[in-house]
Amino acid sequence: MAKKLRIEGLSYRYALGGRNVLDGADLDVEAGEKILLAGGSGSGKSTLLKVISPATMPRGTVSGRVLIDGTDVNSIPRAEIISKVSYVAQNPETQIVVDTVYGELAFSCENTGISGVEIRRRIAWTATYFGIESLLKRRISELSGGQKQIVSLAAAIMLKPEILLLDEPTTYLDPVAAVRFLDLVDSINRDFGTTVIVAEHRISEFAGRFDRVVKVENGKVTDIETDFCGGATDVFYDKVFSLNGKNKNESAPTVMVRNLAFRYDRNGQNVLDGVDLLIPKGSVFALLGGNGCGKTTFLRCLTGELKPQQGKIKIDGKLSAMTQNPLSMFIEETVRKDLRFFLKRKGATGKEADEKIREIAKKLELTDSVLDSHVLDLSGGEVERAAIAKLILAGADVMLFDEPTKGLDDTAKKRLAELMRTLSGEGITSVFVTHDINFTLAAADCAGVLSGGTIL
Amino acid sequence: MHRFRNYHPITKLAFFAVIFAISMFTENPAVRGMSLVGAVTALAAGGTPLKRLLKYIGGGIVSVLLIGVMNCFIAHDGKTILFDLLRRHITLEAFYYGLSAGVMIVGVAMWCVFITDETDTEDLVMTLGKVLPFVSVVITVTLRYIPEIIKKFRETLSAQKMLGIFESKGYFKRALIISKVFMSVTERSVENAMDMASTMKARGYGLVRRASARHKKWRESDTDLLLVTAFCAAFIAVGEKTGDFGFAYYPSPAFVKFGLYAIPMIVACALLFLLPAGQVIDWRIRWQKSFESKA
Amino acid sequence: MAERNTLKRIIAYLAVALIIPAMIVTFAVYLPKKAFMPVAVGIAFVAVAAFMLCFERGADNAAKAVLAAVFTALSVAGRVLFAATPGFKPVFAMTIFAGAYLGGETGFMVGAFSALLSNFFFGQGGWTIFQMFTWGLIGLVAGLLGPILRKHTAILCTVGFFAGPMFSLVIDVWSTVWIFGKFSWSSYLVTAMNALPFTIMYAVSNVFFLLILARPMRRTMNRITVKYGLLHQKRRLDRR
Repeated sequence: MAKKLRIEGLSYRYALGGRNVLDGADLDVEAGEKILLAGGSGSGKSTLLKVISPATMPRGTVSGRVLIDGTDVNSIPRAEIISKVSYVAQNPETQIVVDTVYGELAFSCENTGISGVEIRRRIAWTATYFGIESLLKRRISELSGGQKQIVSLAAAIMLKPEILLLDEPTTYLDPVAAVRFLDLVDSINRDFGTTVIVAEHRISEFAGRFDRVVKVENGKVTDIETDFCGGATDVFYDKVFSLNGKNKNESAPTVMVRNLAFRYDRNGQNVLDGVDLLIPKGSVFALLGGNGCGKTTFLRCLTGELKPQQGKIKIDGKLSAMTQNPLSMFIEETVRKDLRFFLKRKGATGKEADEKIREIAKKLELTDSVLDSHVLDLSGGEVERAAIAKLILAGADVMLFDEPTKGLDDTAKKRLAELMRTLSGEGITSVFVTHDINFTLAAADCAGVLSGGTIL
Repeated sequence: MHRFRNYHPITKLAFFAVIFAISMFTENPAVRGMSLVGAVTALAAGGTPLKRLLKYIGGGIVSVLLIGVMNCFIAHDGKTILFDLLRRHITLEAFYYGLSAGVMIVGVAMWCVFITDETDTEDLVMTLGKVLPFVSVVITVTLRYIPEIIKKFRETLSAQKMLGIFESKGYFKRALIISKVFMSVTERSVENAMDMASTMKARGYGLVRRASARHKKWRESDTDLLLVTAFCAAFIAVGEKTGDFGFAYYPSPAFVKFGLYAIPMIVACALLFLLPAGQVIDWRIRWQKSFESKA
Repeated sequence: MAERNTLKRIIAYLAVALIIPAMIVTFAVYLPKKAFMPVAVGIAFVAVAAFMLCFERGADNAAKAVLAAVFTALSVAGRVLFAATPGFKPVFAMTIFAGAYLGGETGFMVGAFSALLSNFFFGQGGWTIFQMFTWGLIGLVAGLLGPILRKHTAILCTVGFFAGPMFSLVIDVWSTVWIFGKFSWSSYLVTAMNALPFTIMYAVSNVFFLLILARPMRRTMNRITVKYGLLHQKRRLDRR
């Protein structure tokens, strides 16, 4: 019997890219198999997922064959291939097209001309299956990141695909939401026999859920054995605990918070309820805590965006916060132009500005090509570093980050951690809120957990 | 929440078109007045906060007077001459005509507020989805982008404020920053759009003529309302034609004729204009009863 | 062949763009009020519907649909974000850009839908259809002049400058009839004088936004043309 999906000697090169991203890749997938596609960033795992279906193939040159049930994909009519293979892009911002959840679920089916009655029936069943009936009438802009990703998945299932391709679906999710999402993927695979391929860089955490792990490297696909399994988090938490409380005995802290309380509603509950916190100068402080525990509220109190009803905040030096999307820091087309404009507005002459930019670029390892490319062409890690450069030029002594690792790959995370450590050596304090235990271990020298309205 | 909101978009469109047409085409101050009263009661019954309502009414009175005065300088007919300005008569009748026009304008404006409260973008998407499926996609995508763009703009602007380059040093410099922020948001959105276009294509957009899943059932109540509206409109149209309820402003304001046909016409107007308010009140009573029965 | 088609289109569009406002003004002068309103609403409605139908044929192109959506969203969001400064809005600018870069029909749609959708925030009313129509016309005209507007910022700003008064003048015809019951030049003058601050504000803000956004917009459109390979679709985009 023919394989569900067979990739034979697939090579692919982007229209503007010089090299072959895929170079003779082979892969056989059985029906109902669940595969984890590993590989570093830029290894071509996203490209592989996109090239499988002609409907998602970006502009470029391709050779080799992709067969579904023994038929070449290029000989399958477009309408059919769309309902056979569903691809979910990494970023819900571009994956979700329509303004309401209901419309989003309907979108693909509407495109293939399925009747309105049938679509409504499918929406009802799908929403029930995913447990998202309560979201149906909501607008996409009101949803959380986790909810958006689940809506994307539900929308992908609406056409009853045989093969489901997910491109780094957990990048923008916190661990709890990521697990919930993968549980849903598991049940789709089990209940409908859908073949699933997930591209992911967090292999260690998720490998145990999959039938097989394959790796994309040098344009080829190889099977790899993984001996990773869960359970290691205990060790992580032990290490994190050891970071906890290191900041208690500090005589001259940069950030001092005393008995801080905040509530959004006059009659509501206190979100923050007596927070005490000392952060020593030049340290890297990680703030952990579950969803909705008030981490972001706390940051907004620190920046002065929210006025707490009780308590005192004292900050020694200038505090600057990174925006949730670091791109929002820039208003010019390239980093260099932006920094120049910024410094000039701050009163520097052109020469001084250039000098300062050269200095900071050297320190933060921003190459000329990073400085001079369009900001929208930079990778997530590069934008983040450039944004930090801007914060430092603005004279920040304390930098606040809200989920700085969201959307970053492992290499970028590592570099960010190193950068925070370097800056801490120069007396610049970093405070970040995160779910990422690994990153906390790599970057932070003290940590706290926000729970029950206080930081412990 | 309101009863009126639940009508089919086409029913709503037809109803409001008739309301508009009648309010705007009649010169009869009685009909115009009824329209205004209907709009205000509809707003009040619809749960508009008192403060907002009073603001509307206050603004309405000012506008009515203003238009009244303005008309004095434009129209110079009428027999009661108040005084002469630049060799033109300023007449009381022209003032009256202006007042009456003001009542109409304020009435229509109030109806507009009511419409805006009672319709939303979903109505638009549902209606267009059947006729122009691709255009309706453009609208839904637009609606998806609007909040995103507003969020991005606010985030970017507040970041610039935080970085300290937005301290007010002249309007032009601030405007420059704001427009730079707007431009960067534009760039990001346009780029984002291209990615979105490729996901749309991947999801089969443009392959065949689209179906439309977002819809609203046509219910008996829709038919009922349409019939009532049509009957009332017909009565009023005939009434206007016969001139039994005619009104003239010049040379002095008076009913030209008050014929037999005036009565059904008044009834039809009252019915039509007070219908939305009545509907909402009826719905509120049921709502109340339903809760009481539970308790 | 393609040349001649473009010429035909230009003539057809110019005809639409010039004749319809002329018709409305003429009707306002010569028709009694009771006939004017339905006729004017009818004309505006038919024109908007006709362009929607034209656009519907091209909107199955995903890139075109999304770009139209983004420009519309930008102008609606702009109207919301700049709500504090009356008249100072990027709506005209975005409509003109949409026309210049995406073609006249898309420009018309962007203008028309900017009016329709932003009125869900600012209040729907009898004026909606005229606003849709007039903003649409501005997008259409920008589409006709597309190649020139894309190249010369000065002409772009000039068009923007005159788009403000043009919008006001057309809308004022309608408001005059609505408020004063009949059209007369003196009442029209009063209405126009009342709207003058807005008219000036429109003209100024249009020039401001166009001037500042022209270069970045050109850059952005070039960028996506290169990056996403719109180049070979460019002609199709223009034509539709």
